[in-house]
Parts: sequence; structure tokens; C-alpha cells
Amino acid sequence: MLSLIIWCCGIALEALLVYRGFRAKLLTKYSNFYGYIFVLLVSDGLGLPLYFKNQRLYESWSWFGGFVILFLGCGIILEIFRHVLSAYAGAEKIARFAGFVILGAVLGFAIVYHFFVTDPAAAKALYYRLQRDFLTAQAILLFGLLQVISYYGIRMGRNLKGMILGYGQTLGVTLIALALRAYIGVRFEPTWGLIQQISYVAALTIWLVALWSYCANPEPEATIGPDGDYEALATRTRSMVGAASTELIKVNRL
Amino acid sequence: MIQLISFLLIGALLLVSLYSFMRREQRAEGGSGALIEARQALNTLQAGLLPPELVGRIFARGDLEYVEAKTSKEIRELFLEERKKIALSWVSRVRKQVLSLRRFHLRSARFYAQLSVRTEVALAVDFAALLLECRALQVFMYVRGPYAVPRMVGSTAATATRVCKISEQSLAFLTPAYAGRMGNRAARS
Repeated sequence: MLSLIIWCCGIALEALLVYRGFRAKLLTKYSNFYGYIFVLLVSDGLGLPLYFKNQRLYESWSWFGGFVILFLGCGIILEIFRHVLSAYAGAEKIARFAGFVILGAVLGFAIVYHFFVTDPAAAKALYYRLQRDFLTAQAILLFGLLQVISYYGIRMGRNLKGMILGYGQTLGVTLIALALRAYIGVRFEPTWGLIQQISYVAALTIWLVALWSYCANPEPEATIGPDGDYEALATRTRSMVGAASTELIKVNRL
Repeated sequence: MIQLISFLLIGALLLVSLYSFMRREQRAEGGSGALIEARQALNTLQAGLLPPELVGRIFARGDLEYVEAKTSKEIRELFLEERKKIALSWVSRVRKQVLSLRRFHLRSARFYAQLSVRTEVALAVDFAALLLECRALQVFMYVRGPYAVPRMVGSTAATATRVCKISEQSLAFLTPAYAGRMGNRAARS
């Protein structure tokens, strides 16, 4: 019953998120993100009546939906990369290319797999394994991105912060829950399902608050010139690091 | 079991970094404040962080020898305590300037499409080594007093040598026009 309530809450939040995205003209700005939410809305919206009408049909199709949603989640990472790094030339280009290659490869796999594997039990087993591995890859990618953001002091607006926080917490919680599920076994399954649902609703709530209206990233102001100056900058920094080292040597020799 | 630990670790690491990401201080960037800060760090570092005479004076053994010869044990302890405070404050200032310099470099470097990963990694290692040396100095001074500076000459010299070697390769690019432009911008702000 609780699971069903959370499911309905999820659908309502997804619908509200899409509505706010439309009203605030965010759909085109964050197309990958809203694509993901829209697929979730369609999948959950169609899945709920199907669950009550024909459970067997729901079982077989829910795995396919799960695969597609799993792969589309990569689009959020791509969206974050694109917007966070958009003002920082070069890095964004590489990130976008790599992201599209990964997204294309896994999406292709999901579609091809559906035509060859018809047994729901096999699909379920593969789904859990793939979900864990895939989410691990995304978690590592997001962790790396967070380190780069922190290292280079990149600032961002409310929209992207919310996107990162919402998706990041779902990734982290799901990974931990999946690992525990693999270790504890079937008796952890009900708890695992509930944890996932709560984490997902939490993410939707975070996204709804963060993406209620458009909030642009703070415009970075470059304090230095064109690309040719990079080496000059690096050189100057190095010589200053050298100066600092020399001072330390002086102290050590005293 | 190893698999469980590694997945738990990745998940936990992500959640912790998300937490620190949300708590991260949103410093002003690029504006006049950042330029002034960078300029100040630049000046402090270019001038050798602190005048050598002052550094020599802080760590001079002559003062200690004089106090030991002419005063009581209590005065000696008081002197050492005060000198330790000064020495620690000096190292802390050096560290602060290094951090400020790193921040300035990173905030400038991130805009370049032609950013060299190798150079950035080398600089990150050098900065880390320098900051670690400062921290080690702080710890040793705190534990063993201002005159018990550890024998870290070898490792510090190695860091300095490496830094100097790399800087020689691209010193030619450091044009006077660039320095002038920086100065004008800072003055305007």
C-alpha cells in the first residue's frame, strides 16, 4: 500500500515537474533532463493501470522501461557536464562527445537486448547486474565531475545544483542499496524497493524545488586573455611556487 | 565481500562529496575582489613571501643562546613559547599565500581550451608538496618548538628543483605585455 502511495506521489511529482518545465521554458534548456523525466512519466503513468489490469504484461514490459530509464539517466550526467562546463572551453566539447558515445552504445544495447531476451527472469537478473554496473560508472563520473568543480572553483546556479544533488543522492543511495541487496539476498528485497522509491521521490522533490524557475549559472569572468596565454600563466605560477619553496628551504637551513 | 565494500565505498564517497559540494563556499570570482586578492598574493610571493631578514630574525638561534645564557628557566620557556607562536604564524601565512596563488591559477586556467593536463597535474603535485611541507613544518614546530626544524631539506630542495626545471621550459612566454595588462586590470578594479 505504501509502495503504491509513493508510486502515485512520484507520478504527480513527475507531471508537476514537466508542467513547471514547460511554464518556465526549461524544456529546451535542459532537454536531456526533461527527456528523462518525460519517459519516466510515460512509463509510470502507463505502468500503473497496466499493473492492475494485466500484471504479467506489466512484468515483461517494466523491465524494458527500466532499461531505457537506466540508460536515459546518463543524459542527466550529460546535461550536467554540458551546462557546468559550457563556459569553460574545450572540456565541454570532450565531455559531450564522450557522453553521447556512451549513451548511444548503452541505448543500442538495451534495444537489441529486448529482441533477444524474452524471459522476464533472465531480464530481471541482467537488469540488476547492469543497473549496479551502470550506476557505478555514472557515480564515478559524477564523483569526478564534483572534484573538478571543487578544484577549479566552478560556480553554478540553483537549477544545476539541484540536478546534481537530486541525481547524485539517488545514485549513491541506489548503489548502496544494490550492494546490500546482492549481499543480504532476497529478504532485503522489500526494504530495497522502499529505499529506492523514497530516494526517487526525494530526488523528484529536490528537482521540483530547484527547477521551479530558470536560474542561470553565474557568468564567469575571465581575468586573462586568449589560449596563447595559458603557458605564460602556468610559467608564472610555477615560478611563484618555486619562490615559496625557496623560502621554505631557507627556513629549514636556519 | 570485496565487491560489497567497493560498491558501498563508491556510494558513500559520492554522498559525502555531494554533501561537501552543497556546503561549498561560493566565493566571488573574476571580479575586482578576486583580482585584488590575486594581485596581493602575487606581490607577497614575488617579494619572497616575507623579507629574508625577518625570516632570519624569527629563526635566529642567537636570541635563544642569549636568553639561555642570561636569564632564568621561566624566562627561557616564555621566550620559546612566544617564538613558537611567531614561527607558527609565519608558516601559516606562507601556506595562506600558496593557497591563494593556487586559487588564482585554477580560476584562470579553467578558461583555456588548450589547457595542458600534464602541466596541470605537475602543478597540482607541486602545490600539494608545498602545502604538505608547510603543514609538516607547522607540526614539527608545534611539537618540538621553533628551533627544532626537521631535516626536510632534501625533500624540499627536490620539490624546488623540479618546479624550477619545469618553469625554465616556458619562461619565454612570460611577456611584459601580459604583466602590464594584469597590472592595468587590477588598477582599474
